[in-house]
Amino acid sequence: MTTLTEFLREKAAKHAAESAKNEGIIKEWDDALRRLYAQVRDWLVASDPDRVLSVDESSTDIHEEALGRYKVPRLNIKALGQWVSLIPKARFTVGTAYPPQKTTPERAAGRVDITNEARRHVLYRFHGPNGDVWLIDDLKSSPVELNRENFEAVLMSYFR
Amino acid sequence: MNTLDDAWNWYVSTRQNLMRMNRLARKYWNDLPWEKEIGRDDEFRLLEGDDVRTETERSLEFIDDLAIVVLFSVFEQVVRSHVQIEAAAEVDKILHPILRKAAGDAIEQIETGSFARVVEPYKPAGNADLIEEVNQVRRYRNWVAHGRRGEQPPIVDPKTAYQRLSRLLIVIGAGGGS
Repeated sequence: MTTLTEFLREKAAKHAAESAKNEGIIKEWDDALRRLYAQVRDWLVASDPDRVLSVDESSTDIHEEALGRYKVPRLNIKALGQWVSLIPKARFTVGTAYPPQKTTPERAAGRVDITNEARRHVLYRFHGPNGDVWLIDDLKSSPVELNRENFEAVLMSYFR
Repeated sequence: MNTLDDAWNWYVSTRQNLMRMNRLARKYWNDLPWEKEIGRDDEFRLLEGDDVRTETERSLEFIDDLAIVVLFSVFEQVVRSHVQIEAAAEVDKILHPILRKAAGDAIEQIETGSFARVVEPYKPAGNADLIEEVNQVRRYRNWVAHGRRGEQPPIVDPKTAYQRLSRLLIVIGAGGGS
């Protein structure tokens, strides 16, 4: 019969293993978000030479059943008395889309919402052969690959 | 909702389904076949499990208090109707105009007056404890319905409230919950 000591040791070991695994997943997700924000910042630097936009990062809490509660960065873009943010929603999202060159929908490996709380676009992350591929979903038509051109079009729609 | 049983059944099924939805969100949400039709359903496709968990927990937080308000409101309406019908039948037998006037005033009080005074006359027939238990439900209902202001009365849970209210309905002859 299992003693309390054995039981607690077993539970603690399992919990430690799960925590270590989750830490790795959260770290990988955090890195992906930082790469995304760096790309967006690069686009904005190139497109906003007069520095009309104010861009900063803050922290946001996420709770996911598989990962528990954790913090990740969000990107805030402000200008002309308005704002829009890129807010991570979930690493294990229910969101699905057709990744580039795929014929069947796949579950995304992360979701970030572009939102000002009144409107929303959704970014879905997929693992590509050369790193992350982000798709942008305007919730009306099929998601398309995120690039500078369509990101700027989306951003303009929030500052009109 | 016309009967106490209707109100109780509403509470039980609402709470049960909120809890089921909450459990689905917490334990199985990401395992649903999102690559299939559900992933294209606009009602669901942007709903993450944690959104549903948060919303159902917000609903569950207040469902018991809301149930007390609903249960007591239905109970009050059933009691007033029943007593009013019984009393009106007695009034028809009264011939003296002064007594008829007094009885008419009493009927009006049954319809619109203090509810505590409607049930008060049933106390002497060995029901004082039950009436007081029902008054506890009423005081808790009033505290919830008036925005939880002032000192909180002792909490009454929906099951206890339903049992007490059902017992009083039987005592006054208004049936088991109907």
